[in-house]
Amino acid sequence: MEEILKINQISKWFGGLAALHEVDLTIKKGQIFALIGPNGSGKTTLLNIINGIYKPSSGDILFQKEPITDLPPHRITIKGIGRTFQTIRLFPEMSVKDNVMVGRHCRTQADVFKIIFKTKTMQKEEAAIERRALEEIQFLDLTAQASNMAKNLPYGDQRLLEMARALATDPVLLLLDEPAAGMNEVETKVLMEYIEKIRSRGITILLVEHDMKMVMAISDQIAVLNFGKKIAEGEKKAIQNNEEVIEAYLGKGMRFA
Amino acid sequence: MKNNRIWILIGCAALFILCVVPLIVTTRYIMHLFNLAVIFAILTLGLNFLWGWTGLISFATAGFWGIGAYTSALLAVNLGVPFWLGLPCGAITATVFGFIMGFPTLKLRGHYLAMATLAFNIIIVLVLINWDSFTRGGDGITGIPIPVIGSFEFNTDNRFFYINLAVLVLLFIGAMRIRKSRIGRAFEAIRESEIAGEVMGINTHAIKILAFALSAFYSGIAGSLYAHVTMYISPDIFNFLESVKILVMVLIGGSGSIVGALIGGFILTFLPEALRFLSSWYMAIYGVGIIALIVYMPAGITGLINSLFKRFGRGDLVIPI
Repeated sequence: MEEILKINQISKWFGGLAALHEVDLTIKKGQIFALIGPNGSGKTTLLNIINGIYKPSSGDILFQKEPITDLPPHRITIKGIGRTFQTIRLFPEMSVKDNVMVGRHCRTQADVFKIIFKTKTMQKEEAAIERRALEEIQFLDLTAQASNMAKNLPYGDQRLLEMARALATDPVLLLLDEPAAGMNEVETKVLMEYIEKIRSRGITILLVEHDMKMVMAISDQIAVLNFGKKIAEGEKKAIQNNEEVIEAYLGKGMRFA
Repeated sequence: MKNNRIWILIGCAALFILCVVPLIVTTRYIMHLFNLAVIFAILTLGLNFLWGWTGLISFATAGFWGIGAYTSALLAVNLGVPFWLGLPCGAITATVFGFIMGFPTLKLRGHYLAMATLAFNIIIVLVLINWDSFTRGGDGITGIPIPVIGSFEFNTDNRFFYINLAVLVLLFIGAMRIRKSRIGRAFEAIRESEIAGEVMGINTHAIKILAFALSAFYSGIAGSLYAHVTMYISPDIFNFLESVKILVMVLIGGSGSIVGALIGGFILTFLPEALRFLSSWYMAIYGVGIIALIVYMPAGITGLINSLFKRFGRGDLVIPI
């Protein structure tokens, strides 16, 4: 299968501390690729490097064979990498619909002059933005909430709204940063169905997650980080039986249930 | 939809009343206040782009106002350029300065941005005072000509009011359209969460500079109008305390609300006059009043109106813009 994201020897130093040390990853098109590891192992740092919020100390990243290491975050989004956050970062004082409509910003063109003179093309574009936003809202079953303020949504719906907003940017690769954090088992199960649904649209997913059950259930490929280093990569079985992974996660001599 | 129709009706009624004002008011001073109120409403609309929507604080509004006023006035006095050409020139010059100030302040936020914009305003005033040969220094510029169409002269405050009103309506519609567009949403997204905005594919640097430029554009227009309606300008008019006043107007009207900008501009222009009878107590009471308004009505007057609507179960009637 075609490679979509290639991470080469990425290191990131914060002062004297190596948050990431020479990490390599390759994600193939259509995969659900899970990145796991204990707290502070560098998972979120790696996501922040992929979408340009941090610059790596060394190493480089290829997305669809193009280097993206030096691009600012908004350029990387335009290239086709969407993202949700571990700590929810919605636009709280905007409606659900407006939140998702912001996601269309990078795929639309109308400038100030077209807007002020309300040209035909601008009106058409605005209608298309709205239509697409409502489609994404429907896709994640948030239609009943469309006109509510984002800050008034229940927690689980806020997570979904982050995904809807990211989907509106037309991502080829979607980075999900602990989407199940704070969810109970039932909610997590529903979330997994949505993630499958997103994948079935042909979107590749890089999932950072703590919930081992969820990771084992939906991932095609798993990589494990510990203290900024990749200690294992492979399919579920191999990861489950990897001594180093078990030690990092559970302590010596334990087994995954 | 029904909500919008009601507010369009209210807007038309307000506009009609304003159109009638010059026919009724005979006191020159009161009419002048009406003109000032419109000019401050335009300035407030301009600052709303930055503070209300994008969440960027600016104490430079009066500086851009001054740039617009001086551009238009100097063109008219030195080169005989008519008001109708001076107005866009003032607006464009202010916009250019808006771009120039937008760049260095990109990385600044909160207090630091406040200080940088404050400094910008102070520098503008100092240049206006000290560049004698060009700006005529602290004495200011007198004899700024009035606008003329054919043989019709806008030589009274009553007549000039219609120019002001027409410009205000156009700028109001402009602000409204931008507000409900992809760019308006980008402004708001930056206010709500800059990182999330950037990750949604918004070029936050470009959008912030655009907010500065639009704000300066509005201020520049207000400057040109001011110069030609008062026929006299001097540097001290555009000092940073006026910027503070405009910021208070945004807050009192309801930060982020276009209707609020108009309300704030009008109220804070007329309120000091209404409080004149308090003589020496005036400043103290005015100040305490403003503090109280900001503390107890953080969403401003439009916010108060909206929360009243909601409390009485008419959430459908909230002010849409």
